[in-house]
Amino acid sequence: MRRLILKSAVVSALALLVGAPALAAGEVKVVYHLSEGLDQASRTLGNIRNHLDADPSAKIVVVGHGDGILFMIEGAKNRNGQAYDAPVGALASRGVEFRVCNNTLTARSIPANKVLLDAKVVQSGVAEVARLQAKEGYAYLHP
Amino acid sequence: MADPMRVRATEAAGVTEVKILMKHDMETGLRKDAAGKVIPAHFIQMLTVRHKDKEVFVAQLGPSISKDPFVSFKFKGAVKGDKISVSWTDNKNDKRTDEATVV
Amino acid sequence: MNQQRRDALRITTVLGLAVAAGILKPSEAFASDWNKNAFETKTLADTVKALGGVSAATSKDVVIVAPDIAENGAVVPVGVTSSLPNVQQIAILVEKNPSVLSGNFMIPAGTEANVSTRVKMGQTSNVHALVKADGKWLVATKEIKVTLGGCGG
Repeated sequence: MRRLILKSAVVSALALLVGAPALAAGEVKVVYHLSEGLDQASRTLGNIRNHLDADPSAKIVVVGHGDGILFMIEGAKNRNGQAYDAPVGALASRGVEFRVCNNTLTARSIPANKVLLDAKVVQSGVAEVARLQAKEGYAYLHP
Repeated sequence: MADPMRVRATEAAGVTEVKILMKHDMETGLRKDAAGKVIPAHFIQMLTVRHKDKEVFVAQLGPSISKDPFVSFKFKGAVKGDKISVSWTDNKNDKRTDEATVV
Repeated sequence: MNQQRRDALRITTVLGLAVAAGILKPSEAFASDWNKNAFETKTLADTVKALGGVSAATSKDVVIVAPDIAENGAVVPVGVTSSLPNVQQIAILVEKNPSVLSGNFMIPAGTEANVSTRVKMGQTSNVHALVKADGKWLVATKEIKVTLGGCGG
């Protein structure tokens, strides 16, 4: 945990040096990286709820690529048969952003209009994860 | 104007499904802030969807609708390429209109 | 210009001037159709009356599509569909909410009797779907349990 804080502090310092926008005082920024399917997604949505309850000002971005996009596709259901649109919508209305990898969509022939309305499509999931860390000072979390 | 909505209109077999995600706090007027002051009611009241000058959907909403309101409905008579227009007004007379193309 | 247009123009101009003069607020001048009375009712029966009905008969042709258990009361997906012909209006009520009527949806000809939205639920409650078809009011009810979210999946 300390390593994570240290890492994000170092990245933030570097970001300031290269002229990236300054961090708001005390605001934690985290990218949750998902690539393993619906069970990981279900667990992570719960983790994020707890995270926001503990730190309501945290800025959280979820990036899915590979099987990590599945929960953000319309019609996806968890083990209890419940759809993901409501929990994703609930977190989105608390400020969480959801991003889906377009390379994965293309590779799996999933049309963009099947992605949940609460999520956005980015060109490459892994590039987005790397960019958020290197350019915007986000801490990395792989749940 | 307020924050943009996300509107998706997808046509299949003559039926167009419209999904709308609005950006709005939908405050009930019953919550208090950290200082104990009541947060005033602020919510979308009217939502209108038009296709070729015809109102195809009119929704009256109240504060029991979730924050960042989501509404979905289906209508007949549009073809791919047509435009639809979505407008909302809230109780403070703030407004927003967005357009979408039927795909 | 025909007489109707002249009248409309006259009325609009007068209202417009009234707004400009600060006599009327814009929302009052170009009348909002938001049914204030309906959004202040506390029971299903009162809501039906506020919407212009007398009573609503239970109907199997009105279907509520919603989870039995909502993990997060802030965002509960609720859909209403009906196979009845000539559906004109659909209303969604959350019985135990301070604001019982959540949404009132007008269904013009050509629009399907199929609406989905997301509502807030303060606690476990009955959700009523009111449907007006051919001038008659019908209703279906479903209880949705609201739990607090757990830890992890």
